[in-house]
Amino acid sequence: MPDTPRSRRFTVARFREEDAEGVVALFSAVYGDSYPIAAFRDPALLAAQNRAGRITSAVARSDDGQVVAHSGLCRSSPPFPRLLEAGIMAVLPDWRETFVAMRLGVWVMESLVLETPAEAVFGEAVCNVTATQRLSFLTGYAPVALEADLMPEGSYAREGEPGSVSCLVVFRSWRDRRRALHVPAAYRDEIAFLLEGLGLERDLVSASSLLEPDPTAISVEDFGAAGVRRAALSLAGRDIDEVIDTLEAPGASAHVRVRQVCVSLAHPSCGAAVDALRARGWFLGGLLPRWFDDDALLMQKLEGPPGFDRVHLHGERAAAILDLVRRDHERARSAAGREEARPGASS
Amino acid sequence: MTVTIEDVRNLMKKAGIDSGLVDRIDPAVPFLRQGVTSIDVPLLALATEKEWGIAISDDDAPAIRTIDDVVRYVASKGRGA
Repeated sequence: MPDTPRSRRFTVARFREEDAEGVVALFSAVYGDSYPIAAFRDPALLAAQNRAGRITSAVARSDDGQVVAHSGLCRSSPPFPRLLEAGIMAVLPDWRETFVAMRLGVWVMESLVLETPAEAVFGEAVCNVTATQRLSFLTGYAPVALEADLMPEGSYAREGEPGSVSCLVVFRSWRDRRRALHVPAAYRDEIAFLLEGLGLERDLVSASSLLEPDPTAISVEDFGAAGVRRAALSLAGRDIDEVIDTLEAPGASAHVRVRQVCVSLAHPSCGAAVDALRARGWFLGGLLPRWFDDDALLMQKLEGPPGFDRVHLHGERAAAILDLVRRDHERARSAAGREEARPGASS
Repeated sequence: MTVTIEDVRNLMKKAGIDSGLVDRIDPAVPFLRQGVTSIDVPLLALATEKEWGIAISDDDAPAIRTIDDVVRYVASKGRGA
């Protein structure tokens, strides 16, 4: 057998507590000592989070037992605990020309998931290159949304992309039930398109344009280092404009450059929420199935112009999603221009 | 059904390898000498497994370096022979 990187042997397996030191060393070697998830800087915390089921790690070990790659599933932003995120990938540089990333990724996305309570899995595939997208599609995941400029400038500079990087959200359902979905009028066609091929049974009913008398139900999370603010909105009340003011306020400790609201489509008032966001220059990101157990619509707003021209996508469906997002961004930009030009409009 | 060089070319395109590059590839020359990247090769292996329902063992994988190798390997697994 030729002595090439591709012939190097490895084993893919579920994480054991004795792997924790090796995983932290791996992440340090790949990302330096500032990886944003604390568990990957602290072996005891990583082991504890695996025991608690917040992270389900998988590793690839070389023949001599070194951890050479990691991937896994974790609880992240979605309020629904049985929607897990796949990712947290790191591969030692010496092993990048082997099959290890592919074998580990496939094992996590097709097999490890069956050992968890997950009913659905999503991933955020970076769009400076298409490798993760292609791996996702080959394992049955479908694109559902585009998160514009999610990763900050410099995140992928070593890979030749100095600017911010968008992410394609990919999704696969493992268990689901038929349910009703309230559809904001502005995005009826888009939602119907995004549901195609996901294997989800949905009864589409028109959302309401009326706000509820109760206060808006929303939770907000700031990712300071990334400059991202992400909110989960499950009900739109009469205070929606004040809520959007708060979302659009500057960050307390870090500059917020990307704002996202995941609007639950379970409640009829989602129509009013989407109307209010659109009126303030927010634009479509796509569908986030099972985000709240029920599905959500992703709306987004950026501080600067989006780097759509830097987005590299694989496949017609992904390209169609970019097209939807881009057109809606253009609509939002034009509307903002008209508002600024209106006599008496505040600056 | 026989798996042909053309079938492999089509699969390479489906796996996201540049169409123009795929059309120019010599079936007898290793992928990596013709502009296919080290990231593309594992994805092509995975696409091959999914398309023809076979498993490529880690022992066999390093020896599959050309389009001709893919055709022969799939045939050896009783698919496309």
